[in-house]
Amino acid sequence: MWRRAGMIGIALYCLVPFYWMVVSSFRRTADIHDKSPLPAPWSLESYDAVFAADMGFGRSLVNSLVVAGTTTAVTLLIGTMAAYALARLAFRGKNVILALVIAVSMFPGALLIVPLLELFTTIGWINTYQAMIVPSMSFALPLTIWNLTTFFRQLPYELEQAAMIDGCTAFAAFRRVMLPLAAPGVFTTAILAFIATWNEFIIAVTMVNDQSRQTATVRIAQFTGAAKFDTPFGTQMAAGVLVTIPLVSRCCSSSAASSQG
Amino acid sequence: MAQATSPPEVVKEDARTRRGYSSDAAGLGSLRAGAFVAPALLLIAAFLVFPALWVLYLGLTNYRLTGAAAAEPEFVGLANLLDAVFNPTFWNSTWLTVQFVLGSAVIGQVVLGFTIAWLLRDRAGPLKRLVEGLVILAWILPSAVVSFLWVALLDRDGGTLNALLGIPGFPWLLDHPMLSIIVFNTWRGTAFSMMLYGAALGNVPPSHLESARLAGASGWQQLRDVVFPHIRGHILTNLLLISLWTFNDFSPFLLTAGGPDGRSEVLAVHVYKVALQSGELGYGAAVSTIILLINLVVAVFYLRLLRSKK
Repeated sequence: MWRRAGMIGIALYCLVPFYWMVVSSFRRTADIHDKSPLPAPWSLESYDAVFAADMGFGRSLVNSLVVAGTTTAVTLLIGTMAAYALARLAFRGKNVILALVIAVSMFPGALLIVPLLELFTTIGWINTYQAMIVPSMSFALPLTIWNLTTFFRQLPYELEQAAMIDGCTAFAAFRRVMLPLAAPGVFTTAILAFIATWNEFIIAVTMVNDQSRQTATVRIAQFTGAAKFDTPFGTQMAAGVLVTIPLVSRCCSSSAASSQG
Repeated sequence: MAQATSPPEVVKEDARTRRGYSSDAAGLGSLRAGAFVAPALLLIAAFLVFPALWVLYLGLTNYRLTGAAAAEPEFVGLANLLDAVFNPTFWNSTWLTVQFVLGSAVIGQVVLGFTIAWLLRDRAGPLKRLVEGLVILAWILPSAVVSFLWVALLDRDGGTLNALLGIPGFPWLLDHPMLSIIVFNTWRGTAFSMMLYGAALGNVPPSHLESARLAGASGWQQLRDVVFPHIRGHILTNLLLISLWTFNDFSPFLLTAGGPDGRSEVLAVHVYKVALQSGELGYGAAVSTIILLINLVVAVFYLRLLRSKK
């Protein structure tokens, strides 16, 4: 019984702020500061405002999908290969490399922006997708490698040896035997990479100032700035709900897929 | 960078390798292994390590965002580092960061995340999915959105929390800034630990737990003697990542902006304020160097623990 009570308590702790966002997004602008648990009356005013043509929010959602999708796919491909080699081979200095990679990936992001901006200005990447994708990949890779290395290490060595005795090449053993077994780990890592990129803000806001290339998180922050004295709280909340939907659907599909695997 | 980009050297026969197998169980060979690792390391080197080294260099100069030193920064050696070490604001921030990491990461996220994973381990059905979904939701929302939410929740006059508790006018963010950001960050980050422990608990053989139960082990004894040894690697990985993330987390800025009077100015916020708000890039970079060193020490410490598993 205490177990169920504990779970409900945790659920509430997590629910309240989010619930407030959804409810607020359905209030009219006039009664945005109401305290009633449900909007009265319900209204789509905030959603209309978000999708008004001059907001460019729809376009920014597409941009976010392009950036986060590409980053996740390429990061997983590169990261899985690296993690497999790191997990299966003993070589000197491996732990040092891993430690260095993790420590560097923790470097305060706000400061990395200064050199990256100079670099991208030099090579003409400002206002391009790759200026957001490539740094996001390098930020997501350390964790991807780290996680997947842990997963591959747990799988017994006998698996590949059996596969190879059965006539698989090293690559086929990796693709046909190891990869399916690591699928839960790969899915978890995919979610992590997708979320991190989807929510990325500092790089996106620095490298891109052309509105047609901006990602959703940057757009949201900017329509706060647009109306400085009248914070568009309802519009923000509606945009927040919309930005969350791809993340939720992504997580649901991944967890469904991984529970089948 | 030569070490990171050249193909890793294969140790032909390593006596420590488990069960005496060749160190190259996958049959990759050093060349192919190098080709597998190289793209990842090259990317990390070019877009993570290289900018970081650049920042380390900036820490040795008096580079500023604006003014004369912006055009031609001068080399000042360790002056910035010494400035930081003799600056009480820096030490205040360090101490606040330690509180923040211990409170919200080690105690908050790890304990809560493990508890949820443990409570949910043999559950199925809607309640499990609801709890998991909500915890994950808190974690996947963009910081920009989340900070609006919490400011609205904790607001002094119109805040939802004060309305719920019936204490209008209680200034949470002013009176208890550290508590606020600790509770906030626990709320925000628990999902990662929960998912990691959830996956790890799935790997604990049920038969081991079953025999422990049959032998009369209590819940705590099962945890201590069966579960923890099994998932030790996961616990350490989790602790490492969570500590480092929290250590460098910038989102407290969105709630309290480091205030009031620097009472919640953790190191990441401190760096941001001196480097980008005051424009002292050189000094900010030097503080970042110190942060990086602390991160390295923490990472090596955990890796030592991880390697010493027997």
